[in-house]
Amino acid sequence: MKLRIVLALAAVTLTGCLPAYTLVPAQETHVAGKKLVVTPANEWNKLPHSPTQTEWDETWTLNGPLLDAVAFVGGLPDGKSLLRQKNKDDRQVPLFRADMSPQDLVSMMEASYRVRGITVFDVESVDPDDFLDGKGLRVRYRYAPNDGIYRRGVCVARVVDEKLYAIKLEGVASHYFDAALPEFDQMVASARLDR
Amino acid sequence: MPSSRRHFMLGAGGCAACMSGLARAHVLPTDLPPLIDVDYEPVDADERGMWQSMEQIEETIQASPQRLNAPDLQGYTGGIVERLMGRETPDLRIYLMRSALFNASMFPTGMMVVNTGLMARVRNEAQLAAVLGHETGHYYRKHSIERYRSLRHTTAAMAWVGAVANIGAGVYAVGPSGGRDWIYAAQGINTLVTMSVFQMSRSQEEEADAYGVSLMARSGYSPDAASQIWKQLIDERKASAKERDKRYRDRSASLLSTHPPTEDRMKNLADTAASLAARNHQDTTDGRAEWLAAVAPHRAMLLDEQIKLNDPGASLYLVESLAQDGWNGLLRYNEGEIYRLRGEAGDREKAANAYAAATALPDAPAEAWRAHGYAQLKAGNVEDGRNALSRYLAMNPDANDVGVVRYTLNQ
Repeated sequence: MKLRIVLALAAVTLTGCLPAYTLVPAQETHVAGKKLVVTPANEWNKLPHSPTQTEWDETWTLNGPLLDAVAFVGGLPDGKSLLRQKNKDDRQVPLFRADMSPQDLVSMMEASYRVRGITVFDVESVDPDDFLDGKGLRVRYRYAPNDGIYRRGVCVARVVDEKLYAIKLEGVASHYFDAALPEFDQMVASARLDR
Repeated sequence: MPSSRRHFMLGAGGCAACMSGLARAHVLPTDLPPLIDVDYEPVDADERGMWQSMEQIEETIQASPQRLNAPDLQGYTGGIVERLMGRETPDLRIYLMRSALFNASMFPTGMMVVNTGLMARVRNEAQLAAVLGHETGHYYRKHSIERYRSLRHTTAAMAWVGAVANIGAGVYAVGPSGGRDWIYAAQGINTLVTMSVFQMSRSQEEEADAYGVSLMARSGYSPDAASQIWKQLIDERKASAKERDKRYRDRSASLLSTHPPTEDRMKNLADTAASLAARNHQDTTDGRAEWLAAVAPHRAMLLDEQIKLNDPGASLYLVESLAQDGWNGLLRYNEGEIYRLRGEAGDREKAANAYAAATALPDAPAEAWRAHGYAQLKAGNVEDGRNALSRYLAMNPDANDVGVVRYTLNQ
């Protein structure tokens, strides 16, 4: 009996410690801070903040982050990094600079994968795209994490008032990426800045 | 998804980065005949079980997106192993894998994994032979099997067999149906080779060193190459640490370390090479020309994998080391890339200078013109920048970023 009580208490305690997913309703929502606003067409699940994420970063998923994920960058300032990293880390994501060229922005995004040990990463295309009432970048890519299962990704980004705003979708190349792409495009189209 | 820095380096069947001192161990590079025949078969049920699990891993590696599809480099590497062994080696299967880490691994079934991070760093055929010789030593001297047998009755060994079976299945069980998502998702196949059952004993590492060096001497490779490669790696890691304003630490004493090379190991291998040279009067070669020819079609990819890690100390060391054979457009371009990614004060100018130097050379890659173009635009040299970007598009009309470069040109 005592054992059961201890186990029950442990279960309650452990459950309480676990970071929780939260439901994102299908309505206009502030993401990754107070500036970026999107309107999802469906309900999404917001992931708990991970230790590598910055305060300008937020991630959602439909079917679990291993299958699909949408991530938002809500106004990364000049001189900050896409990932939380230490000055003494051997490998580092280049710091964001407001005057980055398209090539620099793509390199910075790619480095955020490479520094985590992903060697197979291919940029498929980089094109201009409309985002937040102006011209930004649309980067399509694919990569293979160490589980050996290809992921595809697309990231739309733009620098506004010297801050980086971005939305990216990535998912398992077979099915999940393509399934979420229309909603991603809809979110990009709906995105606005709350001034 | 983060990858464990420990992966190959912690040691499948004795990783290359685990070689240890030979002179100190008094394992002489003589009288080390192979203990495994070409047609070796597992001897009992346990070993057969392990073999089956390893075959699952091998199937996974065969189909892995990380596997480098380069039949030329694959054949070249196999040729070095055959030269070392003095015969054809149908019992060994070599897989080149895309990982920027310096390492190679040997599995007990005769499967050898060689990382592109190793290919990026060796400077001649003899250095590659040094690593391959060491790895074959683990196989032909039965280290993996001995290690397995010594642990077969322990919990660790059973857990290992179970883990292999699980992960072997898990890799194919994509999605929720497999019920083991956490295994492959969190760790993946590289976890397999971090299992402690694979770690070789110090004496086995010493023997593999001796075996490898003796093969090199017998095959006419300069045995000095074995110590040279470790000296390069130590120097590279010191450069990396200095760049990040920290002290170089040899973490080989730590159980969970990535087994960086030790000064001792380098010195011991140099001592052994010297003693062999004193006894062996045949001509030796470092096979530099052969290596440069073999790696040339892949050099851009190998450098790209390293430079994009943005580990500027290590990357600059590598590029400047390779430039000892002469600067070319590819190396100058990559030098610029290192500065561009580092992004410290003054790096913008250094990158621009490197790109300008690259594009002044006849073999500059198309990407050098793109980088030069954007660098010139940033510096306010609009006409030069636009001309360079136009040159990039002319050289590479199917570039993946043609859309945005055209947009830039139309502004």
